[in-house]
Amino acid sequence: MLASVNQLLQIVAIGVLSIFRPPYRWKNYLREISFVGSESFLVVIICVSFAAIVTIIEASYHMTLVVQSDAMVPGFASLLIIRELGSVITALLIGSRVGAGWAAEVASMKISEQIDALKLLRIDPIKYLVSPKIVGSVLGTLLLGLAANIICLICAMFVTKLKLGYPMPTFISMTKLFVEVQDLVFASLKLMTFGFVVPIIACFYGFRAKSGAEGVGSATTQAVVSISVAIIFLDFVLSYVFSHFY
Amino acid sequence: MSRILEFQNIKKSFSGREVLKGISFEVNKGDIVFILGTSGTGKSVLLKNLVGLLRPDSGAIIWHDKDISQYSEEQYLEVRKNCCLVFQQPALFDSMTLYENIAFGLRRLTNLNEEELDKQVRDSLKAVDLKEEILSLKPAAISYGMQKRLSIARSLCLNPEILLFDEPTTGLDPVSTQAINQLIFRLSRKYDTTSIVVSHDMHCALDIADYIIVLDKGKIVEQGDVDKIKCSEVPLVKDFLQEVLDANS
Ligand SMILES: Nc1ncnc2c1ncn2[C@@H]1O[C@H](COP(=O)(O)OP(=O)(O)OP(=O)(O)O)[C@@H](O)[C@H]1O
Ligand SMILES: [Mg+2]
Repeated sequence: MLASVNQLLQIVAIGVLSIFRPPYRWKNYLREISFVGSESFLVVIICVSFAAIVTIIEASYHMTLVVQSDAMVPGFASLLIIRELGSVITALLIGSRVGAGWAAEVASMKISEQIDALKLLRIDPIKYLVSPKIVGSVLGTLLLGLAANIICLICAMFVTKLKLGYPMPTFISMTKLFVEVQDLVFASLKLMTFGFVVPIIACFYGFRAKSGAEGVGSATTQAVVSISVAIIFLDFVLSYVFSHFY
Repeated sequence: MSRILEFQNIKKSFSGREVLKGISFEVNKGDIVFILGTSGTGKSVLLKNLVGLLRPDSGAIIWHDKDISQYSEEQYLEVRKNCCLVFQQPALFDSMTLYENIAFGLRRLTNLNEEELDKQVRDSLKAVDLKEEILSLKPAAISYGMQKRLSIARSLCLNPEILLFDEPTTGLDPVSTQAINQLIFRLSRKYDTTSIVVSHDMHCALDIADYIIVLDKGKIVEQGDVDKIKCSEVPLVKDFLQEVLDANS
């Protein structure tokens, strides 16, 4: 237990500090960013679009039921999307898609002795493997998350028009009324935090992989489960902290 | 003959389970030393202790009259430049081309310019009988046997004083096996490279080894030159020898 905590802290500390220390392996950074983007872009877009549709439909049903009007739906939906849905869905998808890939990559490097081979060449495996993933994941999740938010809002706007009959300018002005700049800042902070934990947890389980083919499999599964739990938990913590500023 | 390396009573446990129970032996310069033993007796652990990937719990490893087992990571650099480990698995870096795989170590540990480096890469590739066409491929594109040979080339190109092979021929066809054993033999005779070879293969040990060590359950049960091993009365050694006889008949 203590050893695990120690190892996790080591990954965090060395992983972060090494980002600012030469040699800077720009190629690796770019590779990881594009890995995050290419792995998850499509699936994120599809999922947030559906989430937007469900949000509008559900919200309008309940609002009509309770306050006999769905005029507030666009505003509330936009706020919910930006504060919660856009970021969390993006992070969960990146966590399972990219996190699994990274955990499997590191685990198979571990059991095929590539990690040992790196050490023999005086390369710190954490610096070499984790740091570029942190950079890639934080930036990738941020960019993808912001894009997802925009697409989610656009989807919501269309559904509002089709289903509730509100013209698009109304949706936009309602959104402007409800959503403030600080919501965007908080959303970005959330995204970056989620982006940070994905590679940390993925690599943590990767480095601990036991030899044999099932070693990679179980490292990957454990990583994805832990990443999802961590994201949901951190979402709660951050939402709670941010709620003091609303 | 001068002694280059000495293990003194090396012990190593993993979470209470003793894997190496006091290993002592010496290696002379230019010798080919075979370490034989069944699976799981700690052969790989022994080699990893030498290059500092694992540290012994007690005992000393003497290299050029200095105990390296307590060296810092920084000091180990010198050891790793001169004692190259060829891993049991190819352990090639998946994300790099084969050329980069070989050149990577040279770039990290030597100050060669690009031209010398290129020559070194191609020379070591030739030494393991691989064609230059494959250099631009990724490891996944070549067969397991070729990967293993490439991993030998990767260590070879550093011109180490001691080459450590962890089961270099396991999983290879008889022809490649023969070729690799001959390579080890050639290196030792031509460049005076010292080799420590972990293996199950008593047959080729008898063929090319200068000294043979037989491990069982973390202990040395027999060591000596080929003639001594051939007349050994230790049961495990006799089993190994019997297998060679069976194969020959
Ligand atoms: N890093 C480690 N942590 C815990 N146990 C280990 C570690 N490395 C090796 N062991 C254990 O030490 C024992 C010896 O392992 P080792 O890999 O040296 O065997 P080997 O003699 O090389 O066998 P093989 O011929 O199968 O390669 C095994 O039981 C293994 O489980
Ligand atoms: Mg082994």
